[in-house]
Amino acid sequence: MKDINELVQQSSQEIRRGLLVISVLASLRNSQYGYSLIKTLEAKGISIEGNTLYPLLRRLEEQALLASEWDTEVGSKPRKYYHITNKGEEVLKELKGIWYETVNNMDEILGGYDG
Amino acid sequence: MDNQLIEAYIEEVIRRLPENKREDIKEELKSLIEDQLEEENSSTEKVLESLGDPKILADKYLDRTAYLIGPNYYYAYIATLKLVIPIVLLAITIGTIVGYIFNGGLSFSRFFEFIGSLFMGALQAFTWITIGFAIASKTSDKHFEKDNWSVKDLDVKKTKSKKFSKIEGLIEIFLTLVVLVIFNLYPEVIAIHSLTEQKESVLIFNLDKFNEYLLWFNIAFALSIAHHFLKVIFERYKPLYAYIAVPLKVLSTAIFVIVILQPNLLNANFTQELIAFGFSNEHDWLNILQTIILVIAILSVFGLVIETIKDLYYSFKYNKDFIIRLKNKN
Repeated sequence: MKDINELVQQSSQEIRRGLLVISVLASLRNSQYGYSLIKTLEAKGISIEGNTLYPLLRRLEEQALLASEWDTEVGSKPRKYYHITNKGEEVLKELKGIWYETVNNMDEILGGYDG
Repeated sequence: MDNQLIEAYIEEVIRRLPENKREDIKEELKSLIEDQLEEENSSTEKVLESLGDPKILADKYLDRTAYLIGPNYYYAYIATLKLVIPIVLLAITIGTIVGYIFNGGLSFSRFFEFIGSLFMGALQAFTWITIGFAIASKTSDKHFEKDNWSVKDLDVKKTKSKKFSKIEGLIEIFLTLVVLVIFNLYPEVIAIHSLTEQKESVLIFNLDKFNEYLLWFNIAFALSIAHHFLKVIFERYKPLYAYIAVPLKVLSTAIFVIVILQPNLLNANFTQELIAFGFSNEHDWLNILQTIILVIAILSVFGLVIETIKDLYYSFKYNKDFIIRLKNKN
């Protein structure tokens, strides 16, 4: 049997996993490289590990929601900068709508719950 | 910064990825690791540990877990293993016991031979079942992931079509295995045995020739076992079953009949030896043996025809629209 902590952690991980796509898309309206994105999200209370973020960035790029380029400025080491695409903006807009709708629905569901 | 360690880590990740993505992901990971090292001021070991097991990271990049046998087949795979391996072990044991009864000569080396063949038999069964399910899993996983499932996809005919008798299939596999074990390990058992104390016997086959053809016998038996396997796996008659089963059965019967009818396969001294054995000398026993073999061959072909008709009839009975679809295609 799993104990309560484990169950809570599992569920909260599932909740956050769904929110990562929105968070990443929204944060990449300004172009950023991977590590700085981790820090940006962390500063806003969304913690994500590199081993989750990098595969996610790649998937979003393959889905053409993000685009990237290598910045190979002389003097600094090469970094890959990501930014949202038009398609990504459209998806983000939809997701944002769904998010607020969900928040409202959840308020309603949890409103009667005072535990 | 320990470059060698970083290289090794990245190598462990990308070797599991498709070739065309490797270079890019390598650069990506390298810059991530370097950023982390620089800005967190921590050791290479710590940074790599935070990235975790390279295998898991590679799985995340692939966005799926690589299965040998996908979840759709996993339970059927385990069930088949549980069913078949005991049957193989039992068949080898019984084949060996039959060998002992007629041959005698219980010895340590024979016992180890027996243990060895149990092990090899189980290993072979395991390997072939695994390969079979891996192929099935790889080729049909896509079918399960239908985008737009609707009630129309439920196949009522599927549950109406005739089921195989699982027991029958397993008994047939079992009997074929027993014969296979005897043919391979104790061919001298295939003989006319005297019931007197002398334990003499007259061989039916010319063992030298028999050994030459053994490979073909084995192929025929293996095909036949594969055919019965299909019944256990498919559970019901369906067109795909018929497409695989009928050629298998035709091939195994053809090989068996051709090999068994080879003129020099039988013991050429059969008549003389039997007469010396005390049989009447008024008959040409070899000739009678040849006739019996011929009858066996004819019965095999007859059985093939009947089974093929049965397979085709039941497989397509409830799948007439399948045939119509095929016709429309052409």
